[in-house]
Amino acid sequence: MKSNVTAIVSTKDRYYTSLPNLLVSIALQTVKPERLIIYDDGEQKDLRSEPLYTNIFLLLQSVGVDWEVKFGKRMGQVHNHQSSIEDVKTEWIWRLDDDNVVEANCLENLLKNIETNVGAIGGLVLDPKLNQMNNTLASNDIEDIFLGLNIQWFKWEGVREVDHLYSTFIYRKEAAKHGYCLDLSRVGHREETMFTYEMKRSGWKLIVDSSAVTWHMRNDNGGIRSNTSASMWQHDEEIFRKKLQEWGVNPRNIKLIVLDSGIGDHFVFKKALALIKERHKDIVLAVCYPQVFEDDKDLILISIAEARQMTNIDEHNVYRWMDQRNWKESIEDAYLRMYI
Amino acid sequence: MKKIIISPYSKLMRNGKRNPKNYPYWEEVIKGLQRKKIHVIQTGLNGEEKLDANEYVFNKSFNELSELVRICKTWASVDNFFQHFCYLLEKPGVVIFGRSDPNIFGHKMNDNLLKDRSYLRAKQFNFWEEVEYSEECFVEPKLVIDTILRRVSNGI
Repeated sequence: MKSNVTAIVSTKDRYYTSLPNLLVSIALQTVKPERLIIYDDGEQKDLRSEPLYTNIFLLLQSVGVDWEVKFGKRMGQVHNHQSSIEDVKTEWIWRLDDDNVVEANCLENLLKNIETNVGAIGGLVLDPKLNQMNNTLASNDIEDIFLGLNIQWFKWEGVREVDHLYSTFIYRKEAAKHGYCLDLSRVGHREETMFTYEMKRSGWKLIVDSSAVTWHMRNDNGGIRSNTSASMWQHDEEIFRKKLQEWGVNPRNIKLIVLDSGIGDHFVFKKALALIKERHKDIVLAVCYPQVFEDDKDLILISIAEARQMTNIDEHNVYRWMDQRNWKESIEDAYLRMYI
Repeated sequence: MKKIIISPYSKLMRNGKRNPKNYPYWEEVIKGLQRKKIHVIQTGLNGEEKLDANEYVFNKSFNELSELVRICKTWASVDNFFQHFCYLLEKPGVVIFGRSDPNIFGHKMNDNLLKDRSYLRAKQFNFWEEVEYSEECFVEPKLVIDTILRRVSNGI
């Protein structure tokens, strides 16, 4: 049975690093896409004459995946994604990044979630270098966007409906009529968030199925985000924030505080907390001794391991903070200065 | 009989050495207090050395500990978690400092007993494992006893 899916990948300067891994993993899917389109924003070599790709293209062909390389306009991945909506003839598009490796049953498991009102389905996108332990704060609610904790980055079990998707997912062409935000810079920061949340706003359901796993082999060299500047990210972030306003989304503004310290320091901090709460409404507190704060129902308590997934916790070390300032006042005053 | 609670030890060091914050004269302090008919309760964790106190309450929950603090006239400790716990409870007591600075780690509501600032370690925020133990840096037991008795008799 045909999958009615076209896989697409936008790539740049990763011919001999991560791109081949992705292509082989696509070829070895238990349910295969009908077609693969590679949008090349890099050197734009004729890969058919490269021995590595000769093998990969023959493999794709032999397992029944038609393939095609299109030379991109070198305007960044967002433009390639937009082109793909026009180029793809199947009902579903599977967008992938050129540093992804998909587990063999990834597409099969994504496809299991198709229903008439489902617009897009993503899976887990795990970085093997990072701690993938589930984070209790992780959320794909659009209000939680600035938490920076997408549920697709952590291991958990089940299927959840979400507000937006990250990186790689399948989506229904019909649900993509709004298209990609072409005002973004070449880096396309937050492009998939805007693209998928617009889908949600149009009434389509977005799903994350944790049994569909993609490994994100993050690589600083090459890729469609190479040779970029901070101003591009900033530009895109501004666009995104304007979009949030247009959508009437009020992002949750949490204050993360990390107490990776002794129990005595927890007590001192607790004494200072009343004043800190006047400044910060939503406090997430990472602690070693949760029992010290268990009577405080306003706080969200998380573990130090979870905090490490969110920030460099050294910056919350009160002793480091005091040492750097040659601090002579009380530790309680130090906490107040740090967090007020 | 008037009761006081003492928390005599700071946590174990990772290198197994004696914690430089631990006061060496607790036995003398306890004897001096008992001579004045003070009932001394030692609190701490299982495995800590028992002093010659009248009563031991080890491994208690915070709720149980706060109840004990409430019924005692006052308390005494080294620079450990207990002084911060009592600060949260707003119950003043006596803290024996040695090489850590009470201006930073103490609370003004307490009697912070420091022999001399010349004993303070130069780097207040470094690990304690880097500090050698010294009995010299602590105040004499008589001062500790007198300070506790003053608090007990004043009811503060």
